[in-house]
Amino acid sequence: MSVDFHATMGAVVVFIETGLFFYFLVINGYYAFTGSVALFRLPGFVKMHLADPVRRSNSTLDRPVTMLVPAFNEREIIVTSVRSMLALEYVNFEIVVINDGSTDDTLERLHEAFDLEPYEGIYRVELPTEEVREVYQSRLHPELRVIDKANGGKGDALNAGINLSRYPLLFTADADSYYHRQTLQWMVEPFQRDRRTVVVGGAVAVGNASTPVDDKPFSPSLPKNMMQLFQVLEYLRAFLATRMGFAPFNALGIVSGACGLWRRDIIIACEGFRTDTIWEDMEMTLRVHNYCINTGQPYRIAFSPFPVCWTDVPASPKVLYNQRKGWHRHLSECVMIHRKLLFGNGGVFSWVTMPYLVFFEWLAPVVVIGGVIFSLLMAALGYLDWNTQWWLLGLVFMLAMFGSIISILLDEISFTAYRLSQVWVLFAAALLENFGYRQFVMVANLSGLLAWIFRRPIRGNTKYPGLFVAPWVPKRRD
Amino acid sequence: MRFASASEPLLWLIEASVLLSSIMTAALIVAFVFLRTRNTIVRARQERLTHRWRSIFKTAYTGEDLPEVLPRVGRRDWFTVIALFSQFHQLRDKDRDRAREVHPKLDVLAYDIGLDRHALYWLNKGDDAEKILALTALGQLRERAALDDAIRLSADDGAELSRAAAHCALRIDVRFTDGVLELVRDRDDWVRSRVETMLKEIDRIDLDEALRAAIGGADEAGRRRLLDFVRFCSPSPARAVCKRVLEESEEEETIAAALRSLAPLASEEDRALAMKYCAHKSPIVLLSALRVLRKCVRYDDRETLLRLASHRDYWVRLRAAEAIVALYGESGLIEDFVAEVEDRYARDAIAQALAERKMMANRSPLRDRRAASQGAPEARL
Repeated sequence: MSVDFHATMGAVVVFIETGLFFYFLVINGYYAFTGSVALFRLPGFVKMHLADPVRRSNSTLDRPVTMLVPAFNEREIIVTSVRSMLALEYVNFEIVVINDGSTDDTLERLHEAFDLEPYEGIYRVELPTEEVREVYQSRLHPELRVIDKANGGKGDALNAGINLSRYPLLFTADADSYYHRQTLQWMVEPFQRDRRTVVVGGAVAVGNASTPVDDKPFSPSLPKNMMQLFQVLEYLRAFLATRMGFAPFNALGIVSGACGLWRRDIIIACEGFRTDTIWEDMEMTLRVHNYCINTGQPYRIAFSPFPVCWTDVPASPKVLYNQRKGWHRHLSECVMIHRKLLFGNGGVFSWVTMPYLVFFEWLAPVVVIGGVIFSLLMAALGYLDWNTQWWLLGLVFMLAMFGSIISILLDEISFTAYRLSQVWVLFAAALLENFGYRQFVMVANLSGLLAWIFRRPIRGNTKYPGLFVAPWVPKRRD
Repeated sequence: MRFASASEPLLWLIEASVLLSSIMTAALIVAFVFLRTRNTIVRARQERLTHRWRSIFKTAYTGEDLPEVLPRVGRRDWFTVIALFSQFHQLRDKDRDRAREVHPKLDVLAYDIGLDRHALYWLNKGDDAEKILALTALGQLRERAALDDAIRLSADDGAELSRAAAHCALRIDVRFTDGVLELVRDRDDWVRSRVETMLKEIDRIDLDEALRAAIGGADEAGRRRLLDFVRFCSPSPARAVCKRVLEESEEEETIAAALRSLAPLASEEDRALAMKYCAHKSPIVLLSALRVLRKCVRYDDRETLLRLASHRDYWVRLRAAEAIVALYGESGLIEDFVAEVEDRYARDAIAQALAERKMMANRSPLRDRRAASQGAPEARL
């Protein structure tokens, strides 16, 4: 090989390495930006709440809400969960539990606990779903109804729930999550403040180790399992820093499926939740953006930063791996279905959120894992020196720590949920997650991406569109 | 042979970035330690403060003796003390009859510690949260010196601040009722359940007059907003307001809102009106007209109801079915009636209305739902 070739190769390698360096800088620039926005907004938000709290209201002017609770094999938790939802303090709401073809005794447990009887009303099909076997109503709590249907996935279950819902606002809940008593009051207020509001996302926190207390649902404590501990940090970063940072610009990329309040008419206009994707929440969030942008409807997707929902997170590597694999696969589905939003006419959402989702979330496993392999290989071949690699590695770790510590700081200046001893544990976790956990998650993400590319079927659906899915555009209405 | 290595500028950039990010991370940790220390001190202080002032404000309820000398409130403690005062001033249901006894005692306490002076200071110098808190407290004190500032702030762009200011002005001077109603008319960012709390404090006669005046000068959107609050007026003026809007408005949404507000007050004399709007072409008007008709429905109306129970819009069908169910009541004749209905959609709508009537009749109040939850030990969330 000629010296010219090696010189050219060396220049190319340095160019790519420089690209990687800037990639990490920009990705962390995003985090720093959203974190700074949140740092700027959260203290005022909290102080405002102290001065003018959401009161326990029995106002009939509050818009009624239907809570949709899809349940698939939730025998352990379903009764507790529904009871906690029945205890929510809100004047007018109903609960629709959708038993999505559970193979355990979820339905029997509901029967037993709530004395179900066949519902005499009509199940109206606005959105097509898998077969609905029966609809029940509780004799003890008539505002509780249960749909028993064939398995079709969460989106399908939600669509069945929407068909039965009576109210203009829909709260999507998870059967394995717990909710603060004033969740609905918190989340309904943005709809009243701004008529353009179409969706409100709520903050979700990790609830595994928390102790139930009467009026405050959880006094936060940290899980002992390291895997779960790292997820506490992830949830803080995702909800306090990222979402709080994107929300003021109407650029929220996802409303969590465990805690979202949606306008029913918008979901219907968006043709309901998709059933051919592995998850449903991000896709519906992007679809709402897509619908409103393309139809020219003024809209707002708001975020309520107060933690009102606590959820169990995976404790075992296998479950976590599958969860993240699923999440990344869903992200892949979303960016492909809504690819026209990227650099489109959606303002901040198209030019900030979508590039973030595409380049720094979706492509991250390829760039990061590819970048590591590339750097190691080139260093081994002598095109790069090891010294540079160590510095680059140090930079990645340092920036990752920076993001985590911003989130811990945000928690401190807003809700001060964790005791000092717990905060030190979180600091340690912020350091330790760089040694194995982040890489593990990145591999799971890559696996999700590959599963999507190679169109591994979900729920036996061999027609999974994967890479070749058509972009979604709203139907024009007369 | 050794090939090219990473360029010096890149290495320099990476090193500089590591250094910078390390400094920023360290700065964040220092900021955290500082904040945490400060928060710990502030929280401990606030706990003592809250405990001390709770026991002082509580004396207004318990009749216990006050300490001979009231503690001095530090500049940074006012937020907590004023918030506590406001909480104690808001009577719980069980204490509602004791307002004449409790409020004067609390007010004397507030004046003794200079709460009014500090709250007045905040109206000009505080941030939005402090202004809101001050307005709440000054409104509770009926402090006339705050009236001008409250009226000024009621025009603020911030929804919470302007509403709190209007509430304060209203509490101080009931003559501001007209102003409040004009604001309710013009502001679509005020949270309605909070407006309700405010309007419920107004004497009904004053509210009747003010609503009538405000609706007179309102555009269509303003009328619709005000119609939401007609339910807090006396029945007769409320009906008059709704009918006036119906006479003057041509927009479907406004007509629907007026009929919706009229529905709870509807009586036999509104039947002709309801029938008139049951012939309207717009589904949203039909929905509201059916609400009115349901309150004064007669057997003669069956044909109209059956026609609407077969309407193309599901919700119109359901409302018509509800009126049919209301017509037959518990008589048991509804089954015979349904048997004669040929339209499948109308039959379905009636079945749905029957199911919903059953559901609403058995609906458990909040306290029962909570009790049900607490009855299960594992559900104490």
